[in-house]
Amino acid sequence: MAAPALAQFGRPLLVQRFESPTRIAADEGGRMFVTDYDRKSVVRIDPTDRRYLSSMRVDGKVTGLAAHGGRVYVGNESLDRIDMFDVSGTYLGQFGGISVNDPTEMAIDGEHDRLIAVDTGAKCIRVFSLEGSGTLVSTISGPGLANHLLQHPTGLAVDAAAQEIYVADGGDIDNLIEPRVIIFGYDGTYHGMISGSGGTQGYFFSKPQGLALGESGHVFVVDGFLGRVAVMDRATGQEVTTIGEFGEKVGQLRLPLDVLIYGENKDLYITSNQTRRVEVIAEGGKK
Amino acid sequence: MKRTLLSGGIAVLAVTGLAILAGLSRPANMPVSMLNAKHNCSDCHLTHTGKTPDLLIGTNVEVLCLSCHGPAGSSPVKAKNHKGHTCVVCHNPHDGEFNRFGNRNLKMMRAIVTPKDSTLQRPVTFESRGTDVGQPALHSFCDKDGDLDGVYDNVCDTCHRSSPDWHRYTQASSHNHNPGRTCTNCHAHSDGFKD
Ligand code: HEC
Ligand code: HEC
Ligand code: HEC
Ligand code: HEC
Ligand code: HEC
Repeated sequence: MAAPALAQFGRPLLVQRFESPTRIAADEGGRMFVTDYDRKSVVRIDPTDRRYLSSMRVDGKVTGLAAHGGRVYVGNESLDRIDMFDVSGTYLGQFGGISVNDPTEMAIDGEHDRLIAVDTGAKCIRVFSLEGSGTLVSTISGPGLANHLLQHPTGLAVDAAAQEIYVADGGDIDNLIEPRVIIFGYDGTYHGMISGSGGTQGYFFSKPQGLALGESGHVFVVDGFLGRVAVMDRATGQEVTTIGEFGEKVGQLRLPLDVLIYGENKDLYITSNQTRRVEVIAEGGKK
Repeated sequence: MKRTLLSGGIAVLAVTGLAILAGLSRPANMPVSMLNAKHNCSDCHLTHTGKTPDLLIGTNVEVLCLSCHGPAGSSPVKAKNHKGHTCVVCHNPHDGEFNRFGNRNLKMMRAIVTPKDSTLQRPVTFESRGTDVGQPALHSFCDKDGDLDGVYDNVCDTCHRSSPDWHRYTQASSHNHNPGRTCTNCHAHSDGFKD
């Protein structure tokens, strides 16, 4: 399949600013942030002209990211916790009051006062109340072999309207659990799943990472290994299309880790970790 | 993934329900029983998606490793390349090689490493992770040729030995920089052994 043309995020930004772009997120005011794992920082970028604005230093390697209400929440892998900053980079303290083994990804539902984090190390989802410096409300799905329990959770997205959590999970193929996206209610009830297995190539996705929710039940699943984004239809469990292709050239993806659908035009932003770029596909989120 | 050592061949895998791998045959140089205990075949292979003759599930070996051992990967153990050497320069994904003393190296280390820009095949002996009180820690990262056979064959000093290659333990090019110690406590793999 021919890959759709990808617009480059901007070479200056790539060369000067990213060493290891990991997660990307925007807040309700349209501010956009990217975590840089190796640089131990969060970079704020201007989505209108794709310019670097500022960066905040984190005391550890950073993965997970969410932004809301003038705050930026950052998963600190080295210190096993979630850190809070204001948008100008001032450190506000630890969030949630508990140790989070490996806070790989986060999402916020401001309407229902929730911050939801993947704890990749502990193989579970942590649901927090956002208020103040956060309190743990519940923990969903510890490790186990039943098909709907999390095996290797990595990414997540939240549907605030439906109060549902979508979790990317690597599965455990040796126990015949395929890579998949599992859907939970906020209370932890199991609502369904989208399997990575199927289609003519055998796999829609093999190492699922960041997720984004598009229109009409479309779920964007980044595949870190295959170097593309699978757009899955929740209702049918089938692939709508794939976006991007593996490679090192501008516009290609090498260890992509996250997707973000941004703005009125629904542009699609993808972090490509090993090419140190963020790729943008105009209106890609409309797929 | 399972943490138990696979004890048999493909038949055992099929019995454990791994029918998808039934088509894989074992490479001649890989005793299946010696696959590293922390991996299973299907971490890296899937027959019905294999795009290459190797039946790897997709794109590129380094990206394969990093999809678990890189940022946001599912493995808690993180690693990065070292000065232009990719994972399989140092590691055998199937493990199971024997070093020149007839033993298996730790951590899937190859028995022979060929550094970039070089055709020199360097023996590697990595049977101890050293100690924080230093040597003697025979056959570790660097033991100053602890077995006195004239070959610097430890996992770091196999490359970081005297000219014409990269020595640089100290500016004075001696081997007195922490021999016998666990180098990776200071030079973390997650930082490419750099910091
Ligand atoms: C950690 C990842 C990893 C695991 C686990 C793994 N392999 Fe491989 N395998 C590879 C890679 C990488 C190659 C390609 C090697 C190369 O190109 O040098 C390969 C190649 C192969 C090949 C074809 C090439 C050859 O060497 O003949 C076969 C067959 C194979 N593997 C079988 C298996 C079986 C069976 C298992 C389980 C017992 C297994 N592999 C486990 C990574 C892995
Ligand atoms: C599906 C995920 C996955 C893939 C792909 C993968 N690994 Fe691993 N690997 C793991 C996990 C999990 C462990 C165990 C970590 C721990 O100790 O908790 C591990 C352990 C290891 C170890 C340590 C073994 C020991 O004896 O302690 C090495 C070395 C390693 N991997 C190298 C590689 C290399 C090289 C590749 C690519 C060829 C690779 N891995 C691909 C998940 C993976
Ligand atoms: C220059 C050689 C070299 C290269 C290149 C290299 N490694 Fe390693 N790796 C080592 C050594 C040596 C160890 C043992 C470190 C220790 O025991 O502290 C190791 C250990 C590991 C471990 C286990 C760490 C642990 O704490 O158990 C993993 C996982 C691993 N490597 C993965 C990788 C991956 C993935 C790559 C490629 C991105 C890679 N390595 C590249 C030499 C290398
Ligand atoms: C495959 C060969 C190889 C092996 C094995 C190897 N190194 Fe290196 N190392 C290199 C090369 C090449 C350089 C760069 C030398 C130069 O720039 O002159 C280097 C540089 C370094 C540096 C300097 C880094 C910097 O940024 O200047 C450190 C520290 C280092 N190595 C540590 C280690 C440790 C610790 C080990 C064992 C765990 C190790 N190396 C094993 C090839 C190797
Ligand atoms: C206690 C911490 C510590 C330990 C243990 C340690 N190192 Fe280092 N190493 C350093 C520091 C700090 C530097 C940089 C300053 C210097 O050159 O001494 C360095 C520098 C180096 C360099 C680069 C020197 C240069 O010329 O740039 C190499 C190569 C290296 N170490 C290899 C090793 C190896 C191999 C081991 C294990 C035998 C080891 N180190 C153990 C702290 C450590």
